[in-house]
Amino acid sequence: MNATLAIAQRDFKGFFGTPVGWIAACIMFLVAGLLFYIVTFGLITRGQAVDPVSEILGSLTGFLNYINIFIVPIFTMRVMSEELAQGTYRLQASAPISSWSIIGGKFLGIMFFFGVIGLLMLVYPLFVAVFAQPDYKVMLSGWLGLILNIAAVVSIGLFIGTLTKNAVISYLGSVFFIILFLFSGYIQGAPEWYQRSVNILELGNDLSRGILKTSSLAIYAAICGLFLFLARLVLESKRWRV
Amino acid sequence: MIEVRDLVKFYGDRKVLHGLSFTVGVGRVCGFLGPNGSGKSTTMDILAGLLGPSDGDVKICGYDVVTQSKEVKSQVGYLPDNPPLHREMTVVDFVTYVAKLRGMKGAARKQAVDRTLEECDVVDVADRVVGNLSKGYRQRVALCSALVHHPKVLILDEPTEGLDPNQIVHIRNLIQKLARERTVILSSHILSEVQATCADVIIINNGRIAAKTSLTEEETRRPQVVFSFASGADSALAWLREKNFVQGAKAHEGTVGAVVVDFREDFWEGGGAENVARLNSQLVQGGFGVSGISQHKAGIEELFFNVIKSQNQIAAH
Repeated sequence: MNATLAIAQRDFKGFFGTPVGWIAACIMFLVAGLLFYIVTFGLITRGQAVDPVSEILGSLTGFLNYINIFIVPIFTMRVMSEELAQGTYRLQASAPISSWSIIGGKFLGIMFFFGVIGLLMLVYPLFVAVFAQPDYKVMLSGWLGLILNIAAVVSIGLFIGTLTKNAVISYLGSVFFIILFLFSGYIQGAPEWYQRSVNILELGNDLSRGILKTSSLAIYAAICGLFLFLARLVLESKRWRV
Repeated sequence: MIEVRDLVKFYGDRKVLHGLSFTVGVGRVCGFLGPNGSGKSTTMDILAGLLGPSDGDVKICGYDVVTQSKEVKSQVGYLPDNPPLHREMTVVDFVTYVAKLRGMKGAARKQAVDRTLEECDVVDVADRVVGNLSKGYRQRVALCSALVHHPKVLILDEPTEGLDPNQIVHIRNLIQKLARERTVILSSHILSEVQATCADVIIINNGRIAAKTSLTEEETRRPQVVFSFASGADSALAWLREKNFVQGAKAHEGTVGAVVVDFREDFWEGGGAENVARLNSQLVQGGFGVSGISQHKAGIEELFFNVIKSQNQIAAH
């Protein structure tokens, strides 16, 4: 656990030590700010009744879930593919720690970063709370949806990142694979449980509307578990590359 | 301390290590010498537990690298040929991070980090960012990361690669200092590097051990004498071979008209220099035009080139 946290802490600090973390944070806040303004302004000028939670924050987290498909792989690319290419992965591989510790540390590092971003984004619900009476449970569920979506995308990105040393292939491969994963739910004849499970954007939208189901949480846990397990398998196999 | 038996490694269908076997004892500095692509780095990766062997047994401090890789990794400090450094971190943060990876905690960790920084002589740059340091300093910081957990075995893959002569001397001295209480195995394709730092040498070529030797043995080996002739070198060679105090004589490679003579042990006993002078007079009296005499010591360099050459010739056939 000590080593896992050490890797997470180093990666977390590393994001702020390079422009990548700041640029990603700027993009997310720019998009969120614009969206918040457009939705709020639109609703007010049309004179519609503003349901602050479902309309404003639902749109916000829902849209951020889309954006994250393109932002999160930048981070997974950095912590996996770039470390493999620069050889810094060898530092971790030569330490007496398991592959789970390595992959877990990288996962947590990125999640800490987005956790901080997510916390800072609570400024929007707080702003809403000043002028209206939002349902805090729905707000929290939407925020949870955003974080769970990021966790799923991080897991997939880390798995793709373990497969290549090339940063560009890692990024594009992750984005392409995530989109493929989402669209695989629309394949004709796919079982209903599968269609329901792979569409993490829809699951995220449910959560942002306050629909919190145990099955949704289980699906997120299964997606994260599966792809982190696959990532670990690939790391283990590097030792036995033939 | 390091025991390797019949080590084989395949990359796909390509066999890169062909049954290597060697041992390195406690407190020895062993040089791994070989041309680029000979299998040095693969062997070192296997010793450090980063790569699994395709076949054979590798034991470090009695632990098997396959079944007890965690134990092996805690005993080994590894510096790969491309030093793994997080360039955006400060030196002290980086070494602390590696200590955390190695499971060190609290005051013991702080103590180990301070000791290592001092040992590798990087205290003066401890608060500087790794990426802004010179290559020599970066190499020393990388060495810190291999040493922070106080390993019993130190594996260094081309530690002086790309450094300037001053930095090379510094790293060499550092390795010699570290070797006092550890087993060190270092690879290099620079002959002088190995000669300057190692007690034993393993020459590896095309994934096979071409020669194993001890440099102390090489040092104590009796010298050979090179006679240069203005003319008639071939007949002088035949003449010398007939003498009972000559163990062997051959034409000197790369020098026209020169003969390398290896005398018997008793020739050197009781005034070798006088015996050489006497032999010179006999050669002159015999009508051979001796133009020069010099001492020749077969060093690691000659051994290296000879074994690589003979192996490549065998491979070509």
